Amino acid sequence: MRMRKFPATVFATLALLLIGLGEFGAAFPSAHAAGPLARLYRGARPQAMGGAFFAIADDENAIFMNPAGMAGIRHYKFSYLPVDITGSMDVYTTYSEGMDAFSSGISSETFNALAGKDLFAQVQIAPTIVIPNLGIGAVVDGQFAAGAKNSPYPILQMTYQTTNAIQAAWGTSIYRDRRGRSDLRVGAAAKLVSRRGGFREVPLPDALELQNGISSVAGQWGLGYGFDLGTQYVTRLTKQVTFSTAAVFLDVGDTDFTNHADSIPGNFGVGFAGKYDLGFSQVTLAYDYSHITQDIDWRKRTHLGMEFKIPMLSLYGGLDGVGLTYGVAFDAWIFRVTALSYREELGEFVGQWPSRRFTARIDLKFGL
Amino acid sequence: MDGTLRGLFKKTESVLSLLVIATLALSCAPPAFDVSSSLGRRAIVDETYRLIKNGRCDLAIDRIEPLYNSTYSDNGIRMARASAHACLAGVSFFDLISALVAANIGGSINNLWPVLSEQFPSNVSDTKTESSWEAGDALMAMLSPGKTLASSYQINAGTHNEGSTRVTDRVIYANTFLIFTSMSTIGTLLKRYSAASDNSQAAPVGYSAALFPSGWADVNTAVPNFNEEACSFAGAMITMVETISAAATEFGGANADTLNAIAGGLNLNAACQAGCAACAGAGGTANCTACPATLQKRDSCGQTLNDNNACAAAGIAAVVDASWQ
Repeated sequence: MRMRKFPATVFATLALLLIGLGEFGAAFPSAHAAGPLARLYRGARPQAMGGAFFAIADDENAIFMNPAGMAGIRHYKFSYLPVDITGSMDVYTTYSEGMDAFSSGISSETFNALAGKDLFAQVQIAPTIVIPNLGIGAVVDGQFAAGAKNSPYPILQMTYQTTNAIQAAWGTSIYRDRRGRSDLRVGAAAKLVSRRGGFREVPLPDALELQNGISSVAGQWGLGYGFDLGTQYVTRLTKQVTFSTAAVFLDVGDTDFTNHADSIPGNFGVGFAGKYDLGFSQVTLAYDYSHITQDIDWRKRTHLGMEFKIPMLSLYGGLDGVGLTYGVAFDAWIFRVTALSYREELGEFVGQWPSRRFTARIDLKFGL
Repeated sequence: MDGTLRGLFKKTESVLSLLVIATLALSCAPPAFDVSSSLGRRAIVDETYRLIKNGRCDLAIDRIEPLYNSTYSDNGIRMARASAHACLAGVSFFDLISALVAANIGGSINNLWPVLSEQFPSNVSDTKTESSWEAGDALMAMLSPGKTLASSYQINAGTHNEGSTRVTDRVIYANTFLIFTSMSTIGTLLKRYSAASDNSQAAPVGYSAALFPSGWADVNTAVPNFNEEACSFAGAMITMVETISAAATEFGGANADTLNAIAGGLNLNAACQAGCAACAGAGGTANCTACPATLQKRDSCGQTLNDNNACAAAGIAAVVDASWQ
């Protein structure tokens, strides 16, 4: 009985330490810029599950979302060309309406085409190498978004951001009970990031000059480094049911950049997950409460996700905040294709400026 | 076996309890538009712009006013408030600037008045002129850091949004926006008091026949006493010319050329001097050689032939009347 309590006590202590860090961070809340919650990496599988992944952390996404999960990795995998392409629904609707508004500089037609919209496009390439206890990943990410507001005195809202990063994550078990049913893990990750640009609001008359180039919006390249900490407690309740909890602090103390590139605010969160293994299929439920140190609508912190997995096929669903997420993945060992949709909240409160986005991912890989 | 099942049940119950708590958390009340919290203030500004986008200018004003009148007011909040009122006043930047460019103001300043009258339809029962004033007040409160306000230029003293009628006291974005809110004041007043439907000659309210015996087109229907509307008309003319002179080059191209043609086509100091001279000729003691510095304050005009502000304002109105025949 004493030994069964021990990992829970240690986990609680570690979690309290991380919570303490979070409380310290809450006293000095991370700056929040308008627009979606900033993050370095957005994985297709976590996003399809409503963003709930802290306690799952059982694949290469753990490099970026909970380094403690690396301690549970038992295989070798090289994902050498994972490409995510994301676009918003407004890109499609605006294209359907015609592109004349963008043919000759900033005009009333341009403003009317952009007003209240989120024209968003992103390409992310994030190759990873995963071995037991260790993962290394790179991120090459480019994002562009445009919108406009305030017809009396127009303000252009623009995102122009490119990011190059390399991150290494290490995780290890610090306690495993004799029967191997419970496993307490800790992990840490370090990242070096080069970034240019971010989200900008450009009022008149500067907006009228943008046709001469957007380098003024993008700015110069800036360099930053950051650290992640994570814990994970996994316990096998029965042969079929596994329960896990996690506490994570990503980008401890914020990851800031030189040359005014947008920073990545610290993200402290906790998560719970339950996995039911039926042999031929597997069902996973997960819940995360994230971005605790940020001054945001509490509903944006909540993430609920579900995965239903059978050989070669996975179905996803979830709630990211209150926005529905859903997706499907087909895995054929050397490649994996994923399609998903999620709702990004661009306003301060959920429901003010929602944007429906779609992601397609192709992942070329091999592993043992 | 029974103990194993009981243990399994307890653990499953814990898992389910956590998930139920999470689900309940999702259904709790949303955060409020709370002026006292940083998140609430950001959300209020966001909501104001969302309502403007949806054409709900009145609701946008209702949303931003408590925050604007609070101790937390800053230039971002003032810009949102100005935008909400400009929305109600009918300001739409691209519609207005394209109409001005198309009107060939450089050919004749006379072309300005029909454009403004058409762009800002209004009648005495709406509040569009009043909203244009409120927008202007908010923009005049967008001061550059460290400015010390002279009392002669100060408006709304003692409030959380003290402003200045002096163009150099304000940030550049306030001045560029003020160009168009001033136009909305002028346009709504021209439209309110113009002849029927053809945007022809107008007479802003308050210019009595006694002040100008030669009369105005609608002088007999105007309110006999010089009032806030009449004073604001002249003040808006001065604000429009001053802000164009200070900020038109920010726009560039045909937009800047058109705006500069407006400022260049109006010699307001001469108009003010002529107004003071007309009052003196009618037996008053008004004496001014340029537009008074305080005339941009809409409550600064008196109601006698001895008042420089009222007489200067009347001179400006006479210039408009003479050029819009």
